[in-house]
Amino acid sequence: MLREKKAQEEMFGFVLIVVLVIIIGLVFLAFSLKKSRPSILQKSAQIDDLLNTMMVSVTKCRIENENLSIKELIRKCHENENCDDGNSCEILKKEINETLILALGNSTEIRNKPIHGYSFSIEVNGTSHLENIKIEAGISKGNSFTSSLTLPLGINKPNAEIKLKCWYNASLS
Amino acid sequence: MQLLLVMKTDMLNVKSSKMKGKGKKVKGKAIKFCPVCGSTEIVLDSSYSGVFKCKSCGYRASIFPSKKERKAQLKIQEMAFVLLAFAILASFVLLFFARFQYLSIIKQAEKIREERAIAMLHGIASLPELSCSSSSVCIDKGKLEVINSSDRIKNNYKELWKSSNIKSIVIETKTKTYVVYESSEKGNFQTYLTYVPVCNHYCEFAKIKVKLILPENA
Repeated sequence: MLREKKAQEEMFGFVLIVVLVIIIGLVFLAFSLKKSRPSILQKSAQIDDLLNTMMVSVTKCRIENENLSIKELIRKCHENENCDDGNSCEILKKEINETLILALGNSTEIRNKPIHGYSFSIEVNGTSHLENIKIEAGISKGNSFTSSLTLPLGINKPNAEIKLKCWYNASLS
Repeated sequence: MQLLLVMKTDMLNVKSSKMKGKGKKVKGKAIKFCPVCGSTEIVLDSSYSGVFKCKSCGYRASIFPSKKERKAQLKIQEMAFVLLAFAILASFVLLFFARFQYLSIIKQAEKIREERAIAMLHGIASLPELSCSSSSVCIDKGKLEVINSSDRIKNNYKELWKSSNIKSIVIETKTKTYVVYESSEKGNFQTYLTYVPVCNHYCEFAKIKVKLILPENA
């Protein structure tokens, strides 16, 4: 009887070791399969640079033989002033759209890229023509980050909040 | 398999304990074997009293040689199997851990490389040889034109770019592509890009692309 008990104890010990090893293995497995939060460091910095560069880029809008930058064109659009050859808000929307396509790709191209969708908007306190400038492309689903900058529209005038929201897939590293 | 072995040895222990209980001190169990075929399936022949018979070859005899299974040997064998199984399990865990560590080191290296590349992109745009005289970050178009057209200037900076593991630096505007540096090195590269204005009187939207040479194991 004593011997039988010892054998049972040995078996129990062995099973215990096996169970412990399996638990340790499962913990390691869980750690290795755990999806690490994708690093968006580079893309985020890139989008910040994109917004800053876009603001100083020259446009086709000419007033008194001077081409305006996007920053200046935003102010003109807010004040509802026209360019020599057309509506400032329409030119602004067209210029922003062209720049975004050049940088991030058009609606079809962007779907296969790490950043698979974006949404550009300008927000102003109160009513403004700038609120109509909304550009969206690609897939607006998944993880996202927003890059924004504040543009003063003038003395005693509100600030414009320029936002570019980007959606990216989990494989982005 | 290991469990079966343990159970088998335990059963043997039980049997030998029973024998011990009868007063006989036996170290292991005696097993009869056939001297002709070596089989251990020896049974009492029902036709003759006191005669044994080999089940596999039919050899009959009253005395069959016997061998003893040694308990100590079994114990050692059992221990060896347990140790082997434990070593195999431990090595699996170790391999898994090593792989996990290796992957996390690679990820960290990538992240550091990425951070370095971002800093480098801004650093290149802020170089006095390229940057505008104004305080904002931009590239002077005039300086860029000069560097793009002069191989002598490009060669002067060759060592600087090489020491930073840079394969090429290209600045693309909507209308033109400027090559600041390009080496003929071969291997693995990764391209990093950002956006920077290229200005003279007006500023143009431009991309700055840097190709970095990756280490061989990356």
